[in-house]
Amino acid sequence: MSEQRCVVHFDHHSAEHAANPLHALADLRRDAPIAWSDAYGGFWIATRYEDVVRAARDSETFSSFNDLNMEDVAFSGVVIPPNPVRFLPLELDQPLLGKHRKMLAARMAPPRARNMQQTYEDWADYFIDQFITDGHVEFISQLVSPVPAIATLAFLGLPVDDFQVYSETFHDLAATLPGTPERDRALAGLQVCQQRVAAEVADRRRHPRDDALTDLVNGEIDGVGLPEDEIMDWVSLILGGGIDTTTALLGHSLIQLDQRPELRQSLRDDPKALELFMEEMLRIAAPTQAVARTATRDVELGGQLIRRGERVLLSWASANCDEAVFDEADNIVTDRKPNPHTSFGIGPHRCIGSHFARIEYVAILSRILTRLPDFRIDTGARSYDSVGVVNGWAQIPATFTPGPVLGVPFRSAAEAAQNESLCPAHGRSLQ
Amino acid sequence: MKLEVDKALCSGHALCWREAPHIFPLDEEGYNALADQGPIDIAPESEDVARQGAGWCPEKAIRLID
Repeated sequence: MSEQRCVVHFDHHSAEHAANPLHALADLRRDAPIAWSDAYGGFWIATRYEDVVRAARDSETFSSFNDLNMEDVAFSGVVIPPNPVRFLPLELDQPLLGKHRKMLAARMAPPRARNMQQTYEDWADYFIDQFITDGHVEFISQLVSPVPAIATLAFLGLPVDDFQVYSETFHDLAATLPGTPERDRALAGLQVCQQRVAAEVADRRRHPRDDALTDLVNGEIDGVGLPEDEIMDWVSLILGGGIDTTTALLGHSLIQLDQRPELRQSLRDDPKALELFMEEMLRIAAPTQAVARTATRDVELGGQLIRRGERVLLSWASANCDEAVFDEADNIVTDRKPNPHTSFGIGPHRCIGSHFARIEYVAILSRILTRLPDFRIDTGARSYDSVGVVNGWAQIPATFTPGPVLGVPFRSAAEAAQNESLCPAHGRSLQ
Repeated sequence: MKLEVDKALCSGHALCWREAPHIFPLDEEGYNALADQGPIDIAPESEDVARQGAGWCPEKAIRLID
């Protein structure tokens, strides 16, 4: 076991890294799979599949806990540099983590997500209706950010008519850098979102409904109800995790599908092909590129000694391209099968919204492929300046042959819940 | 062929279920309902699809016993 450190300058938030995230990671995987970066006060970065998975599974040794004590670098949660806010239950360890997840586990199970597919397709059709006669669109702001935002709000039970402020705020929080006017606007938007959520939480205490917000309001850990701030930390996680990540994956997929008519045709014709394409895009373009942990004891990882209290960044993006696990790891193999990528996380913190994210993706992309079959991405497409939080696209302008409006009405969250309860025999089906 | 699902490893990705729902049922919370039930017999005609389902699991929670 090595006690020497291979020191590198690795800054996952830098513009240089954003320009080609997989390049630097491939070098590390080959030359220094457990390297010490001198950025942000110092942290280890693990890049091989085996090491990343082992650490992610061992939550006792590699802690996610965030004690919000910024003086002490220990236990500062799952992002580097640490967030001044806490996400629940993302920044808890077992056994508390499992108790928290149990409050929403059944509501987030795969059958519940599948019941929403028709509703998500309808929302996609509603937004496509707004621009389909124009012949041009900016995909991010006009379609692939609003629909995941609405899906997330509907899941929580928040008014979906408010989607714009949530969609813009959480997209901007991920897309902008601290100290810029855009970030300030996003932070102001966040305050508005939080005030609206607080009002809805207060309402659910008096008028419980069949929604996730009510589950959290009524939720108990060891017989004690959740304090207000923990409910807000949960809602922050669902909004942050639900809105911009799915948008990012759809963005990468649209870029990949540009100028590939045959691939579009096969994805349109075969739901299984669309599913495999989605998994491969998850592998190669992980929306969340990495998460951090804190070592709770001296431990060996990949032959390297890691000291108690040191921070470790686990790179999902790199693990997904590890040649030891994936053939043709650098290439996009659109029908790769099986595809045990790590993009929804590994171990007890597996993305609790993964089933909803997959259904949203399929619903939205299938409507794009059906209604805008010949879209062409313009040269103005621009990815994020930093991929340290979310690896996504700031804007994707495109042109296409105008098509007919379907006249799909905008459903409220209550109507969506109604739709879900009626499933699988939902009312209308669009071709 | 038999297979066994490790409850400590299953994290509820549900990819086994997506691949082969008749072999890998889910519990109410979306985790593999066969977890910690001991070895389960797999009929010869279902072996291929059971292998596929196990191959998707990023946790390697499904152990095949030939």
